[in-house]
Amino acid sequence: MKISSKWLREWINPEVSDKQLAEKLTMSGIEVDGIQSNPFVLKNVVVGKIIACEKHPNADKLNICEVDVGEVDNLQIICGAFNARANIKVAVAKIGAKLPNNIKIKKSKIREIYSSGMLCSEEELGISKLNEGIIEIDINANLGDDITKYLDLYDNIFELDITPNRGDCFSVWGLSREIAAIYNLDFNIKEQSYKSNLKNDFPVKILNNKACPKYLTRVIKNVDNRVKTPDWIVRKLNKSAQATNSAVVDIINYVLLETGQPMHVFDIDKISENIEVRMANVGEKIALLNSQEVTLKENTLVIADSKNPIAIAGVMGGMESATQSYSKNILIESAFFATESIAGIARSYGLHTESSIRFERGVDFNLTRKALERATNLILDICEGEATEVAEFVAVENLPKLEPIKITFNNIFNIIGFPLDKKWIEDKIKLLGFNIVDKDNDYLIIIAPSFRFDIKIEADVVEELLRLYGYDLIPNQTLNANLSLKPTEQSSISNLDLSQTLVNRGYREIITYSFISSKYNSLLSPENKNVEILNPISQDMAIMRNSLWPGLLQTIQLNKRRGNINCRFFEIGLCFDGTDVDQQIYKIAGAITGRRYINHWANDIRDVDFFDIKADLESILSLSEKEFRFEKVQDQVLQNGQSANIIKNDKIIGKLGLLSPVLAKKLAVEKVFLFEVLLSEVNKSNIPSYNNFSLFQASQRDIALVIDEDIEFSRIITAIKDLKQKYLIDVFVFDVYSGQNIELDKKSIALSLKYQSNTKTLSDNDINKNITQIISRLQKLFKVELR
Amino acid sequence: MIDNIIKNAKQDIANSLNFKNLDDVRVAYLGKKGSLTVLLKSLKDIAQEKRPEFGQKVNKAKLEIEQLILSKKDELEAIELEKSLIRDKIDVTLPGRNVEKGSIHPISKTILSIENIFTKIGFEVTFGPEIEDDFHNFEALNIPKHHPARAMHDTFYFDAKTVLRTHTSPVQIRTLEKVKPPVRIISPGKVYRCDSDITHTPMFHQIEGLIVDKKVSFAQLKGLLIDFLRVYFEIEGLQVRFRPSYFPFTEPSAEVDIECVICKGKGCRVCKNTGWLEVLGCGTVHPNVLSAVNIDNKNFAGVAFGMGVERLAMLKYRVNDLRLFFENDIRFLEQF
Repeated sequence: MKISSKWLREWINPEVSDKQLAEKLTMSGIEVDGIQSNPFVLKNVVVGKIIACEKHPNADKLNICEVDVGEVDNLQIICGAFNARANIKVAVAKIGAKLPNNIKIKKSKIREIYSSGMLCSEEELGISKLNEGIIEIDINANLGDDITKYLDLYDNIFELDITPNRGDCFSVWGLSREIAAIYNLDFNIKEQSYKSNLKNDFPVKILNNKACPKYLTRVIKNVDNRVKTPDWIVRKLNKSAQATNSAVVDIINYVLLETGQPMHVFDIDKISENIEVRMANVGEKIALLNSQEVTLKENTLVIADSKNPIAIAGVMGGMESATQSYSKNILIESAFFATESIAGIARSYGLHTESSIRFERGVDFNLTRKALERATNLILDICEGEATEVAEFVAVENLPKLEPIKITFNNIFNIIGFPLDKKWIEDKIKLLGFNIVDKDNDYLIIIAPSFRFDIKIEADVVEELLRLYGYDLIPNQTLNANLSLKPTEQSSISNLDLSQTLVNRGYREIITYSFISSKYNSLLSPENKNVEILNPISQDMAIMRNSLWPGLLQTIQLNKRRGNINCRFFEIGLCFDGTDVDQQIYKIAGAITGRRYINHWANDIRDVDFFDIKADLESILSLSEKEFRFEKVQDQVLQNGQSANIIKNDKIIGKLGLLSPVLAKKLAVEKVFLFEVLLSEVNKSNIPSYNNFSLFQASQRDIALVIDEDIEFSRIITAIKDLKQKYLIDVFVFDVYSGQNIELDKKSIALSLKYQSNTKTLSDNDINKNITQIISRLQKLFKVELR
Repeated sequence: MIDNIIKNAKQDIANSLNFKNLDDVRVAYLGKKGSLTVLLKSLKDIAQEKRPEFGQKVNKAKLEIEQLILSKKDELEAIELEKSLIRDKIDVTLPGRNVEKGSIHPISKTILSIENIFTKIGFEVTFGPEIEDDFHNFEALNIPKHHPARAMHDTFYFDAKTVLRTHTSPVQIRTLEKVKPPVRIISPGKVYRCDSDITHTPMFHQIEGLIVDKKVSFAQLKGLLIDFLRVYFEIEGLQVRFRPSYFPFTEPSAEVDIECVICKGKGCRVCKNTGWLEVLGCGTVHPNVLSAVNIDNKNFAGVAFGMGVERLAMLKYRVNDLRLFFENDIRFLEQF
């Protein structure tokens, strides 16, 4: 909400600067987001007097004015304003002046005649949006004086960010009351009323008195809505960033800002028979004032006539029944709508109005009549007409209850942690408008004022007290050390351990959005169950990922576009198989592309390959229990022949491989190798348990085998290990070869076998027996030949 | 004669430039046909009574020459070593092989550093789901349907009851459902709001903090958070201010501003000329929240706080564009 400082100070005027006031408000919980100075600094705009005013020979609507600005020579200025005439004092922008709308005043020629300045309207000086004619200044003003002396120019606009619990501060009145409490100032206002003998017999039916516990109407007949809204109202509305309309509507909007009570005016001649306040019927439509047509939902409270809805209660009126400049007879509605029945409604239609923001937060139910009386008086003053008495409907039982609240001094101490003086508490409670209905040594029983029906419990009151005490004066205390040790697991591997392992291998951690485009999803997670967001920001962020690969690949693509060709990325994050808690699963994934090593004087230059990423993956697997296997797999996303499942305890816990070339092309990336594993499978290890190592010499034997090309290394190892040879402590492959001297479709694998006993030095004979056993088994299973 | 031999030998040894020369010298004097050997062999031609004296002289000369050859050998070895060292020298300023330098994302780094601060005083780190139900994200946090505060949480929906969590506060509820007080947790994680512009990304990170204990007060919360901010920003005496605010799940509530770390409170673009930056929200846990999880709010009190990780990271690392965090350009990542 924007409110002019001048307006506020008409109501309450603490002797502090606007800056100090803003600071104090902010520190008391009414956040002032900014102070906007109005207007821009004006220079070279002075008081002048039109000495003579003649018609421009070449233009009907223009006048040539001779203007005295207190200098030796009078200025000749061309002006098109209807009210330009001799013997009035005006605002003259001289040559060199720069106006808020960025117009620079230069000597110019208008239809063959020179003009040396400009006579200004309020809009041109940025005072308001008034642009009907030039400003006329007090005839006693001194010629040549700075114009700012005579105009309502200097004002500051407070931009307030009011929290949802403080609906009461959404008005000049409410803010003034708050400021009075903060500065401990007297605050009395004269409430207006209007007595009438005319009966208000316009039929009103309240069909839902829960949502609408209070509904007041007043009819005013024979208004003249063609009159110009007084400048002082227009200026105030403009400063609060409100557009202006017809006089009656401007007045209603003005009273809204002044009191905080939203009201609505209907053209009574356009209402069919009566007014009903009821819930909308399914499928009913209304054309709103903002030209939007909406189909109403059942949860929406409406004002209707005998035929159709004519307003969404507390949100916005309808076009049909709106007052126009020609409207003669009007009905003013001033109501209290229950917050629960208004909250969320405006939003559900994409609306956000001055009325809805107030009703959602709650409007003082004692304000309904006061505001109506104020509006009546203004309308009668400005638009004339004859007002009827007020017709009032109240369902007292449905108005907010102001229940007594017990506040205990001891509880206050416990909540805030330091003592407050009892007398001080009592004073502040009163200052805030609470009623003390009972008290004792230990407690007070109080009732909140109607404008603070958000205050319901002791803690709410404590905040009020703290606010006035000043949060900055609250002592800084330390926590009590009520500590106990919780079980921890030495064997758990933290995300940082995993991250650091990859970082040490040149990986950069990335964080990407959890929602991805349906394109990436269908390409990369064809089996995803598509957890879709109903209201995504865009179609590119519509589906919850169930793999980290889309984000990794998008990142690689972005970096490639920007010339970063060599990438090693990883991400740890939640992936989604569904919306249940146990369908939200942490994964860790990596992707590499480009050169294996940066260009370096001592390095071979080569691209990354499968065994690079496999080593990276194995480096994190090696942190935990080592029971992992790799099994080749055919995968839609990965290239056939270069992809594998990662298996632990016969369960697939992840996969790795080369992105399929078809996808690489579609996603505009080069060769990318990827891995992904379930975090829960790689973040636990065992507490180490020491095994004695042998003090006897180990023997190593190498064998080279020629086997069919498609027999996997893992099968050979398994075959050897299945023999469970007692002294075999290690087997590793030290060469894989195919080509010259090896038959086509065959390959040579060279193995190193290490034997050792804990109790003796093994003889050649012992070892040879073992080797023979292995070879014969491999011959039997795979028809291997020794090389 | 012997003296002459010694003199010549000394000369020859001194003139030896390498092991070969030196060996030639040895052979020439001490070898089978060497001059001293020959001399020694001539012993039999010398008068009996002069033999001991002569023998001694020759032996002494032999020893002397041997000694000289040995020390010359050491000398040559030293020279040889020196030469080989010069041959093996390298340019030590060339870069080492295969430096693998990766990086942790600045958001993770920020979260880790904040975890480290709080875990030192007994906070545990907990996590919650990112797809939440209406109860945990709103209802239990005293944000009933149609509460105006919901309007501030531009929420992503999966269905009427299932949302992407809009804050990390639901972890308060999930923790208190499981754990009996005393509780001291912080919970970092991703949160989501349907908002995207220069200063908002639809996904960002928060860290929630919660203490539930028998005696925990607003004044303690204030002391804790002031300490935290000074430790996090590594600025002793950093100005911090608390101002009243409103959150449905805390009462009393506060927003916490720090003196702008960019301009030191003088006023700049980042702090919109106010000299202050809002970094935290906090308060005493609303009794309705404690009763939603069946905690006896007569005996236990709670305080809670929440902070935006991106904001804290931006201020600490001087990152001037929020969107950089989720673009993951290498040239950004490598700076952390």
